[in-house]
Amino acid sequence: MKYSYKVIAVFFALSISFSACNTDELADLNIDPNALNEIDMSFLLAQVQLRNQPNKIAMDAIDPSLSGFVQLMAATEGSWVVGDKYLFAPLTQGEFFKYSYLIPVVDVNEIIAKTKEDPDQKAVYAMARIMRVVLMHRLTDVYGDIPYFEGGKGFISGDLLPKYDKQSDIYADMLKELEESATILSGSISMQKPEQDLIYGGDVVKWKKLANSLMLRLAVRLSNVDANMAQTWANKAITGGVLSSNADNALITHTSGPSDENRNPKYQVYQNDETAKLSKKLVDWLKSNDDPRMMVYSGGVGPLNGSRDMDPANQNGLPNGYDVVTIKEYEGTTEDVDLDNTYSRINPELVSQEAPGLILVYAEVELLMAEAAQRGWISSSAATHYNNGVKAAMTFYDAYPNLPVYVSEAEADDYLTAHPYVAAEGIEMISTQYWALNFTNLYEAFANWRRTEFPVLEPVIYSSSKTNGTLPRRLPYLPSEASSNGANYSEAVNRQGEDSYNTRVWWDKN
Amino acid sequence: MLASAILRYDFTDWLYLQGRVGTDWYTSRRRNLVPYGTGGRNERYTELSELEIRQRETNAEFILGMNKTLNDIGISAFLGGNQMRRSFEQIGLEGERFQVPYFHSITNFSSDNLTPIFGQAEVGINSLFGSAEVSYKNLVFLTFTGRKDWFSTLDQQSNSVFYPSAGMSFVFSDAIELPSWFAFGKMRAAWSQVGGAPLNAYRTNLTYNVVGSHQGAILGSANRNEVPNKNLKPLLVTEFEIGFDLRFLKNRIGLDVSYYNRKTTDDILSATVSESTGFGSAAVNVGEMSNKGIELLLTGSPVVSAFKWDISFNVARNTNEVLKLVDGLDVIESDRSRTNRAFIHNRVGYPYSSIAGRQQKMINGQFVYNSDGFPVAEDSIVLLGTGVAPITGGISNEFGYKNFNLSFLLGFQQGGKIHSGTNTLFYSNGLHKGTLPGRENGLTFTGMNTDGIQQEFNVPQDQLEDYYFDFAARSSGNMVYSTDYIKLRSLVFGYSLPSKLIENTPFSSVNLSFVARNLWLIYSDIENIDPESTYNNGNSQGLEYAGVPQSRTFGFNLKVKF
Repeated sequence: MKYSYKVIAVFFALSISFSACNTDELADLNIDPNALNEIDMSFLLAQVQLRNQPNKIAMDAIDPSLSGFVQLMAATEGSWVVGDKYLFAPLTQGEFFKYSYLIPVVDVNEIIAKTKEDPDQKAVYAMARIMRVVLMHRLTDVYGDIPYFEGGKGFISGDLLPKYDKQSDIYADMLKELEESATILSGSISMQKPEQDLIYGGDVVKWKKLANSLMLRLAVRLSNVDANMAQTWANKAITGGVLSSNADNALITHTSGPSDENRNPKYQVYQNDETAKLSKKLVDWLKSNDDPRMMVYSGGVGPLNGSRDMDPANQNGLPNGYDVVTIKEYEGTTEDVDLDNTYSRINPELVSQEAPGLILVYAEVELLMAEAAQRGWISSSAATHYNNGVKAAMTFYDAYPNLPVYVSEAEADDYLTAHPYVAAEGIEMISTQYWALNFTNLYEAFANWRRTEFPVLEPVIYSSSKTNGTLPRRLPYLPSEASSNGANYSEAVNRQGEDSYNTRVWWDKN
Repeated sequence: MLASAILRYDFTDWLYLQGRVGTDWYTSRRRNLVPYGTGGRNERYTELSELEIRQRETNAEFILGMNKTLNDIGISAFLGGNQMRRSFEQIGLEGERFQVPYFHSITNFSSDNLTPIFGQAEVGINSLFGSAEVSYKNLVFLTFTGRKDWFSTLDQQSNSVFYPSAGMSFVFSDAIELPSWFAFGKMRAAWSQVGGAPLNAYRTNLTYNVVGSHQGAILGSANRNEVPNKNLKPLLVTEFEIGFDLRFLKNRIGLDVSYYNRKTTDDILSATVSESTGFGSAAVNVGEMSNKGIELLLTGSPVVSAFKWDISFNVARNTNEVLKLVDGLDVIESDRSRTNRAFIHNRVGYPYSSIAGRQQKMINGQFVYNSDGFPVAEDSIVLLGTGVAPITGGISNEFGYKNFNLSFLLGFQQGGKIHSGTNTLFYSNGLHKGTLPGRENGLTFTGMNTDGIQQEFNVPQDQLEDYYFDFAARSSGNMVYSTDYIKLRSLVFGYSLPSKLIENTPFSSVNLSFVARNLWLIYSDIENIDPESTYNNGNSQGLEYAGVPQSRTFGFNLKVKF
């Protein structure tokens, strides 16, 4: 009996001491049973595409600011006054910076790193590189110098202090990325899981057109800072083949559920604060040109859940730069102004849960080509491109479900007959159409306005405005960057200029 | 539930082998309703969760030990091994937005407002260890230990650490002849190392998850709360300590002093990183940090008669310095105020957990204002003091007379700072009394403009909100306060029933006392908040933001002994 105890005890002790040194079993413990160690990168691609539009919090940084800067929307109170009156809100406005790196950029980098060497994943690889340009050009256009080469690579390269890159370097690389992606997509390749591509269902030919169209967008952006470079890349893009009809539009279609991620985030942003109205600038322009898009943009005068005046002739825009007190003087009344029953609201169907999210549309391509032609960079007719662009801009709303009106081709033709292209006012006409077209794609509306300064906008003068009587030229960085990435942030601010609204980004010259 | 089994075999009267397996298993069932009024919640729009958490820790250990005395020398030693496994599991449901107000049930949510909660984690440590204690005539004791741990939470290449220690204590009052007022004297000295690693599972590899679907496509995403780190290694604390325990005048006066010098290498920290990395934080080994300090405890019994008085005074001073950080980082941000304008920085050459922010700009000793007359903040972020007070201490007094006893405890600290998010909010919202100037007719004052020229500024009344926001939020240095305090922490007054009265009861003693805690903030430098306010339960001190203050409590305490 005594002996058997001894055996048991020794055996017991030895088994523990052996297992103490066996670290394989310990290492297995650290494998998370509820996470994947490998994943098909096209799953990440669909996520990046869907979430290329920021979520509600990050979009609060974009739409209420940019729509006021370019005077497409106006507000006397609520969160949209930030854009209407150029108030400084770096905490809110930095959310877009934060979101972009934390959500789509980190995943798109992961896709690029994991598919780079995989011959079966060439299509996904090229699509991811194009998506990275989609994300990065918005960031750099809005903020200026940003962490581009090292941004969103905390795990891939272990870089915890990403350097802010010069916008000129960023643009050069983005153009190169698009050219290389287009080249990859020219080969005979296909996507293994086409249903994972939410934009074109795996159609690589359309992806190549998108790469070239983005190249055209970026090229034209450089018109003031480096016209030669702009012309070269614009030609390269057009020769490579750009979007050629509304069927080629790069859109994300949204659904009403099951979760917030599936819905267009604009829904929450615009429904959450209904104090914003269509601007007087936009409504007057539509009205004076008898534009058939009036009731595409306008949801009428009246409350959201009540009867609204839908007569195009009765639409009324809110002028920018007024608050609840000064608007009374403007309207010549001593009573509070009933905003809902005085001014046109945005058409709720343009920002509904099921409204598509825009990346780049054919109408924009034609307008960019019209400008290239007008500047003599290409030989085709500016007027033809302009007409094609305006027509496409009026008819592409077919992609939005449940609009109360859709513009027909015939109506668009009538509009163009009444307002023919005038070469002498070419840039202004093109830019103004570009501005109206990008009502739901405000990064573009803001970027293009800064470049051409058309349509002519009167800066708002308001006591707490932070621009000294000019229009804002960028958004401020996320304030915490000065702490968590201090040296690089300071380097960027020293190079680019004060972290304010008035500092211009590299290409913003005129 | 606790269960354990021990098996022991004595080879001889001084050598034994022992095995022990023990498990500690518990389940907790939680129901959490976010109260109305918290962050805009109301009777409809609030959250309710039902959650069950299961946790288990199992330890399997063996020890081969010996105890032997040879004349004046005693030896006690053992060798052992342990395997620790801990598992955690939670499962539940969370809902938001009640369909029927005031009906607090998880069934009262529509299905798209219900989210399942599920979590699972398993960690383990394997260890081998040994210890030997040698004593000579119960005067001198020498202790040696050694231990090696392997952690499951680190990568296999760098998951182990060995740490030894050696210590000595010497009761010199028994070895040499001392004057009679010198009642007792002991000296101790030790050098030791302690290794460790946080038991947070799954932070060495990047993993992925499926996060939903959209129109037939599967949405996948990398898990990116924290940058995973394959190169994490265990931390090691090396400490030298020397101390004396001295008692005088028949133990009526006692003095315990110790000095320590502690160096922490490769401390593991979840550092806040720039979001432009794609992550909110990163698991990193911090480098090297030093703590040096003195601790002193003085006890005394000034009166020992029918009236008794005992007093004890303790004070500690710690000097902390970050010696080295991860290569490539000159600063690690370990936390951030919700104002986003004050931070906790760890910088080489400065104390750990230092407050960082912007001072209000000055030229030639005068504050600078912009063209609107608003205070201008410096461009650069500077350190504004340490969030951990270097000097802390307390005094306790106990009085007794017949059946009555009275005691109170004072606490103090000195040398620390805090950035007050609460006062920032008060300034920004016009709730701070410092925002009263100018409320009637605006502010007029002289100061420097941004070009360094002295001028008069006028801030109209309707722009005071921006003025005070810039003063408090942007120039976050204005909201950094000293956390020095003296507090009356507690007061106890009690009465014990005379023993005669309870002679014939089963009780051997009955004491009833009145207890009051957090009674009086005798001295503080901060307005509106408690100098001991904290921000979260992380290890970053020096921030606070609208926290609930410590409550003052009064109570009665009945102590009965049988």
